[in-house]
Amino acid sequence: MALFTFWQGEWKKIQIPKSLKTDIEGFGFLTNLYHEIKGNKKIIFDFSNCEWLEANLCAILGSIVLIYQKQKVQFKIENIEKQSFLQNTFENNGFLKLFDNTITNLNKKHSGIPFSKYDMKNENEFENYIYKYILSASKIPEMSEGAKRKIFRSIFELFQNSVMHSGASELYVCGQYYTAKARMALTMVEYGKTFKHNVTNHLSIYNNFSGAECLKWAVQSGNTTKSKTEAGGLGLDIIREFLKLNQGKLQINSADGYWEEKKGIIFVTDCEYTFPGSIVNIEFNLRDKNSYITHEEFNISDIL
Amino acid sequence: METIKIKDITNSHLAVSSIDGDKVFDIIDVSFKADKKVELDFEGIELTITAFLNSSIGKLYSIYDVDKIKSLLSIINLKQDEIALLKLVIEKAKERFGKDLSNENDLVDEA
Repeated sequence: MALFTFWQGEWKKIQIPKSLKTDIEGFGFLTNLYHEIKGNKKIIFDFSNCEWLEANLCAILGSIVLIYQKQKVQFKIENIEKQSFLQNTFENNGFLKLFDNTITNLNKKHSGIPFSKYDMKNENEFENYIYKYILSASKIPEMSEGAKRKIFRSIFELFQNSVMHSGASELYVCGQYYTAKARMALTMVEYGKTFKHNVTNHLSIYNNFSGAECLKWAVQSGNTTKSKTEAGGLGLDIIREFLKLNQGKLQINSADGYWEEKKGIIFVTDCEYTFPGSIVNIEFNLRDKNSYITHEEFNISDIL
Repeated sequence: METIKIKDITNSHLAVSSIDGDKVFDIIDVSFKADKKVELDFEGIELTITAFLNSSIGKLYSIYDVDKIKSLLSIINLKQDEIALLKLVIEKAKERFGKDLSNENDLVDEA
């Protein structure tokens, strides 16, 4: 997806495309945008052509803004009012608050899971966020307790994967309920050690692995970059198994690798641009009627 | 026998943090070294994940043999769904620590 920029005085204006979705093109555009900002001090995001932007992608866009703001880059957003639904969504999920030139009026009728930044060491705050916006959300009342439990477990497994493997200090997160499709997407972003870094440094035989090869290796059952005294290599398995039954989706974009599994079908490829961290998006089907009750009863002393 | 109330470690109705799992592991490890029995009480814990179970219980299999773990460790008040998850964690730990990792780890680039 091409990225167009223009100069408006001393401001560099970046055109947000007509449609930005949670797919390899969307991730590619945002990675390209991350690199395009480097070396500039004044950036405008121009939404005049944008008709659709999946709000969970605010995790990526918002993280880019916050990271560059730390480096004293100024940001403005323009022409967002041309698409009232986008303006409403961005007001309510907190994304618009990142820009100096916006005034936000919070409308309680929205279907967002707000854009937030979490200290990786303060896990309780992230737990509270997930409980408030997902567990307690009225959007998923028809799902069984078993299905909800699998959803929360999947999210916490992904969060802990980031805590354990990225070494990043912060996690950026944003989600969205897509009511018509009865789906919920949650995007998590961090700027720590990538899958490629961890896998290629784990064993010398993997030194030449591409980003895509590293992701393929990392999602395989039993594979872990943990040391020989640490147990692991199961968390992604549990998530993938659940998502197959749930008809959900998992996407990972890390360094120059992209991996996705959608309804059990895997797509993996190398990317044109290198993201300086990892993006993970998980999407759940909220029309899932499975009970996910464990019928088999286990005696703990037998499993030890 | 030492009883560890997991909720006192996690300060939550969730047991999802690998750091909290490490804390539980450290307490068990001290007791096991003294051949003391340990009871893990999951009362009030609604959800666990593999990150917590790996670092608290799965890791034991890298140090102690199955017989010692069976004789010294007991677990109470763990919900049936969580027991099913613990079963997977333990199976994977036995598989990982049971196989000879020496060749593979010779190749690990130590940071």
